[in-house]
Amino acid sequence: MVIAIHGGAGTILRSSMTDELQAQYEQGLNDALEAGYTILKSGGSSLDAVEQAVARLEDFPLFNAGKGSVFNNAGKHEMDASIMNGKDLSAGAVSGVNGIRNPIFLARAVMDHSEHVLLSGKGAEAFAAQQNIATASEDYFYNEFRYQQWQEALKEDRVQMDHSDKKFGTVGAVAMDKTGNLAAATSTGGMTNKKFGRVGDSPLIGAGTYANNHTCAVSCTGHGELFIRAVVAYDISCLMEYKGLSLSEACAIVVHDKLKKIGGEGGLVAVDSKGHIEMPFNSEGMYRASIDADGKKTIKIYKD
Amino acid sequence: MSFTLVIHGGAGNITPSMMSQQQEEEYHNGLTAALDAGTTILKGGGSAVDAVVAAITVLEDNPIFNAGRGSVFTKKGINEMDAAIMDGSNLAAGAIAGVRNIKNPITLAREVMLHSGHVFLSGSGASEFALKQGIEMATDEYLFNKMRYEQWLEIRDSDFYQLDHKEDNLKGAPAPNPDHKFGTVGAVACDVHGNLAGGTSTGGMTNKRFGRIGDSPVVGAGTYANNATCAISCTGHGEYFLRAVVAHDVSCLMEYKGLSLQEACNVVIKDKLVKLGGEGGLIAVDAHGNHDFCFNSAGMYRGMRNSDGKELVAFYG
Repeated sequence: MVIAIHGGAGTILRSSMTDELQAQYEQGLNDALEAGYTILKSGGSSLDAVEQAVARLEDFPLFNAGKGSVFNNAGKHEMDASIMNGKDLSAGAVSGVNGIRNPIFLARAVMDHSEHVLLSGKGAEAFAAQQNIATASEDYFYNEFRYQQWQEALKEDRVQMDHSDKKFGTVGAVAMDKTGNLAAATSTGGMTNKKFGRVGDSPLIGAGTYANNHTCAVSCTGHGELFIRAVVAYDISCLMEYKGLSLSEACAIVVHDKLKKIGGEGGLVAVDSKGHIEMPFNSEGMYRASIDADGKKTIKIYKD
Repeated sequence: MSFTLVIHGGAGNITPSMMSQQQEEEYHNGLTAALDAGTTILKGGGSAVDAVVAAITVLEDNPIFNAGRGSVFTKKGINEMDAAIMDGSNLAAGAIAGVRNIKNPITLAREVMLHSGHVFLSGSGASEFALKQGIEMATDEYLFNKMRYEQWLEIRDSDFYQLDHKEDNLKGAPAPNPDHKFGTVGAVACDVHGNLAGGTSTGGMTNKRFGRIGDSPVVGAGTYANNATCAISCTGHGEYFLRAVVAHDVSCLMEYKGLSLQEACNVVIKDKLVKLGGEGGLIAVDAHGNHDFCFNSAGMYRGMRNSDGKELVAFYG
C-alpha cells in the first residue's frame, strides 16, 4: 500500500518562505498523509483513503481547496472536485459549487448515488442538500489572506493562480490499497478573481484526475487550461498501457516535455499498480508528501 | 488540396421501423444542409475550425436535432446547453456547459477558445462572457419546441430522465416516452492545409437536473482534435464516455499503439465501451483524410463529404 498527496505547485521559493510557515505546510501535509495511510493500514480502500486525505487538505486553511479556497470575482468561493475508482472506472465530480464544506465528499456522493459523473453549480448544491452533505457559511471560508489576494487582483483586474505570480492552488491524493486497487482525488478553489464560471482541470476526469487499476492513479495541479488541452492524467495512463512505458517514463514525458512545449506549468502525483510513486513538476516547487511500499515517508516542498 | 467533413446528429436506437418517410427526408435534408455549409468553407480553403462551426451551426438551428434550437427541457423546464470545439493544429480548445439562451452554443465555445484566456466556462458566468463578446442570444420562445416540451411534460413529475430518444431511461424501468436516440450533434473536419478540428453541441438529457454535465463539452471525452492523430466528436450515454475518456483514447491508440483510425475507433466503441456498458458512437477523421463512423447502437444520424466527391448520408446500422 502506498499514498501520495499534493497541496499545489508553482513558484514556491525558499526565499519567500518563513520557517514557521514551512512548518505549518509540512504539518498540514503530514496530517492529511497520515489520515489516508491510517485507512490503508487498517485494510480500507484506496478510494476511502484518497477521499479522507483530500478532506483533511480541504480543512487546512493554507491550501486552496475547501476552507482555504480563494475568492472569485464575485467575492464567493466556487469549488471543484473529483474522485475516481481505478477498480471499476467509476467517477464523480462537481464544479462551481458554493458553500459545501468538503467538495470531495460531494464528488464521492455523485459517484456513489447519482448515476451521473459531473454535476455543476446550483444543481450540484441541490443534490448535496438531498444527500445531506455538510455545508458551511461564508464565515467558514473567510480568510484574511485570501481576501487581500482578491482585493489586489480586483484592483488590477486580473485573474490569479493561487498566491504570488504562479502558484497553482489545488490539493489531491492518489493511493494503492492492500488489495492493489488504485484511486485518485483532486479538489480546488480555482483561480483568485476568476470570472465567467471558469472550470479548470481538477473536476475533469482524464484531465486533472484519473485512476485505472491496470495502469495508474493521477492527481494534477497546475495551469488548468493547459492540463485540459493535454488531457494530462489520462495521457499518462495511455503512455503506460499502449506504449509500455513505466510510470516514471510516462510522467517525465507528459510533465517535462509535452506540457512544457505548450506552456503548461504545474505537476502531479501518481502511483501505479506495482506501488511505484511519482511526484513530478515543472514549476519551482510543489507541496507534496508520500509513504511508499516500504513505509518510508517523504514530505517536500522545493525541487531538491 | 483535399478535404473531408464528417458530421453526426446523434446515435441510439434508430431503426427503419421508427422512421416515417417524411422523417427520413427531414433528417436527410438536415444533414445535407450541414454538409453543404461546412464543405463550402473547406472548398474555399477555409479552416477546419470554421467548417466545423458552420456545420454545427446548421444542425443547432434545425429543431429536429437536440442542440441549439432543438434542445430538450431540463427538470426545471428550461434549456441548458453544452458545447466544445478543439483545434488540432495547436490543441487550442473552448467549451461551455449549462448555458441558456445562446442561439448557437458552438460559436460561444469558439469564442471561449479564441478570446477568454480559458478553456471551459459554465453556467451564468459563461452567459455573461457571451454577452460581453456580443454572441447572439435567443429567447425562450426561439428555443421552445412543442415536441421537446411534450417529451418533458410526460416525465417532469418523475425522477426519470432521458437521453434524447433512448427507449429505456436510466432508472431501469420502461421510459414513459419511448424515444430512441442520444441527441447530440457534432462535426469533424480535415481542411486543405491538413489541419484537423472537432466540435460537439448538445441540449443534454430530457428532465436532467442537478446541473448534470455530459461528455460533449469535456475535451478528451466527447471532443478532441490533434493534427498528429485525429479529430473526434462523440454522441452517447455521456457518463460512460466521460469515464472512458473516449475521444482522447482513440487518439492515444493511434499515437502510442500505431493503430489506424478505424482500428482505434473499433477498439474504443465496440470493445472497451461495450464492456463498460456505454452505448453510443462517434465520428472521426485523420490527417490523411480517412474518416470513420463508429457506433455500438442500432443507428446514428451521420453524413460525410470529401474533395473526391464522395458523399454519404445514413441513419441505420
